[in-house]
Amino acid sequence: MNRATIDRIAQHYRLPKQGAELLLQLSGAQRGWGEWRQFLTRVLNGIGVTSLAGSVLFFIAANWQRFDHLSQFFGLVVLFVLCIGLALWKPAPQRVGRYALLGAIVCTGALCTWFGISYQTGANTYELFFYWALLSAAFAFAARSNSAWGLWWGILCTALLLLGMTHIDSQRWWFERVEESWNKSWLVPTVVCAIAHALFCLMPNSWLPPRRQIITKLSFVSTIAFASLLVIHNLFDRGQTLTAASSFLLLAFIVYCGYWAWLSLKQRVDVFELAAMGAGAIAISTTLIAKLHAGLFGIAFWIILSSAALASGLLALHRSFLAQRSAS
Amino acid sequence: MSTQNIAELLQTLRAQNMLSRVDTEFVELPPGPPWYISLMLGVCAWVASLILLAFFGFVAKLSFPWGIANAGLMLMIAAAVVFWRVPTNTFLHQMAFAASLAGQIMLLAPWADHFSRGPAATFFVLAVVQAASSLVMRHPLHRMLSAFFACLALAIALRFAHTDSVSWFWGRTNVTHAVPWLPHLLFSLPLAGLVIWLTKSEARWLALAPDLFRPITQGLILGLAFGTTAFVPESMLALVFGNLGVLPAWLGLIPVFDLSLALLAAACAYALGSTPTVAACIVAAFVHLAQFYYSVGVSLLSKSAWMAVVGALALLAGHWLSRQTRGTQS
Repeated sequence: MNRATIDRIAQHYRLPKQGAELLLQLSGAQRGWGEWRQFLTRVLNGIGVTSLAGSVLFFIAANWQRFDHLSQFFGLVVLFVLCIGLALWKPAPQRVGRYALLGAIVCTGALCTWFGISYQTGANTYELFFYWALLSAAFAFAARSNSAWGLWWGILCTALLLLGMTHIDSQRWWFERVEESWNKSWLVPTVVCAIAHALFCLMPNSWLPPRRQIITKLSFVSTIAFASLLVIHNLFDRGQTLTAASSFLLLAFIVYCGYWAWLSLKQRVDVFELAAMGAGAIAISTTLIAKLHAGLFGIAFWIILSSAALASGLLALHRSFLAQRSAS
Repeated sequence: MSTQNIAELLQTLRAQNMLSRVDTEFVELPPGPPWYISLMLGVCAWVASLILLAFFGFVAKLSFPWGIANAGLMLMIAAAVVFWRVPTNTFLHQMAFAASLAGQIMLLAPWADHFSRGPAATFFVLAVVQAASSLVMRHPLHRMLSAFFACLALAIALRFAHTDSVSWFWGRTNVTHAVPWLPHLLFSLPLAGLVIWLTKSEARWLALAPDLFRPITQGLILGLAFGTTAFVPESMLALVFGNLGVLPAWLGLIPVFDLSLALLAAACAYALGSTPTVAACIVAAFVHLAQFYYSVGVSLLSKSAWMAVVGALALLAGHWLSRQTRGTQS
């Protein structure tokens, strides 16, 4: 029983202290020794894995300057091979295999960095992150864990964010109109994220972690975030005039959101996608209101009004979905 | 828990003569909002409160500090009234949340002038304001955040009351390795005691006012986990802004103490069944762990060896415990 219900019962019946103690016991809210042992095991395992990973990193950092380029490379390759060997010895979804593949993803990044530093290729940082994401995608697939997919998605999003920001004049971006290339550079991250999200939705269950909705939702939120940036800068940073390209982008955004809203309402599982789209809409509309010189109080009022209205609507939908599920 | 289970549980309580109201039927509350809706509401309220602050600061041109403070107090009173009188209206709650956050900062205006000379007074006032908000504002998230920020503000106030000035921070003069143990212990030991007592007395406060005590306890747990970071020695802070050389090894003891407090906080949160609070405490523990390895004055190679030993010991202990658990279950 969750604590909210326990609180509600205790408050409703004005339970005395003995009654509250009995309620905690009967509802299974009090932790037994077995649960404490499980909690302690998890904490110790977490500390152990983190400390060992930190130990390897510190060892490399301590000796890095002493090694020549070739030794550095072979050191990283040995670590990489060790991770792959462990993953083959105890393959995922066993714990060792999952952690080893996470290590392999990190080692791939270290090798990419070593390559970039050693050969001075002149590549942009985002290109290195793209290579990292590309080369380590196989490990994320093999690990079939949300932590591996989460790390991989973080690498890809960093690459996309760096790509998007490459053309931004950081001194001017908030105050003045930005270059036209800005808009184009947000288009690529949006499209990449939308394609990745579609792929995550279409992939068979055996390719993704057991709770696949985590990576699916993560990719959807990223798509909406990049799309909102794209729409904001296409609509409002060019003298508030709608060009053909801007109109097309806005239409595409509306159609995309409309499709996912329709799907959410049809499947009636949860309101996560609707909440993400709503948050994007609040960001876009607030920027529009700011550009229309609504004043600070007007902007604050709009944020409060829109977020409260959205939350009320979403909460009502969420409750109706839950009621329908429990009834069926 | 299903409705049937709740009915059985109530029947047991009734049989034990624990229910004072047998005439009324218990109606379970509708499920609360999922975490992402609460997150969106919280972020929007914060942004709106900052914009409101800018409005009162720049547009309303309240330049007289006590005038700003009075306006802040009015906003807070209005927010408190909304939380007490209209318990379910999302729009009004958002409005009240934003107004209260803006009001709390505006209330500090008369002390802003003293900030550069010694911020202890400002932070102490902030701690008092936050503590009062956690008691008065009838909103679980607001209560939790206020209790948490009250702890943070109190820790910073004690820290600066002990250091007396912040000149070392800006000018990096007279930087010392001295550990502010006295304010640290003054802050952490009573707070740790209070958190343990509140966790152990869950049944006691369930009988009194769970809607008041639960969020405040969670806020205090977070305060214990994160608040101790305010007591790092000057030299450890200064190291971030400039290379002052290697720190003495014993400085690493402070983050270890803080780490143990964060783990204690995590255990209390676990006992109270709050998974998000446990996660936040573990994040705090990692912050202290990183601080330890950053500040301890030994070579990188020694740090690596320490970590390997600690990691191996932790994994062995975890393995032994999980075997024990399996043995008990079989």
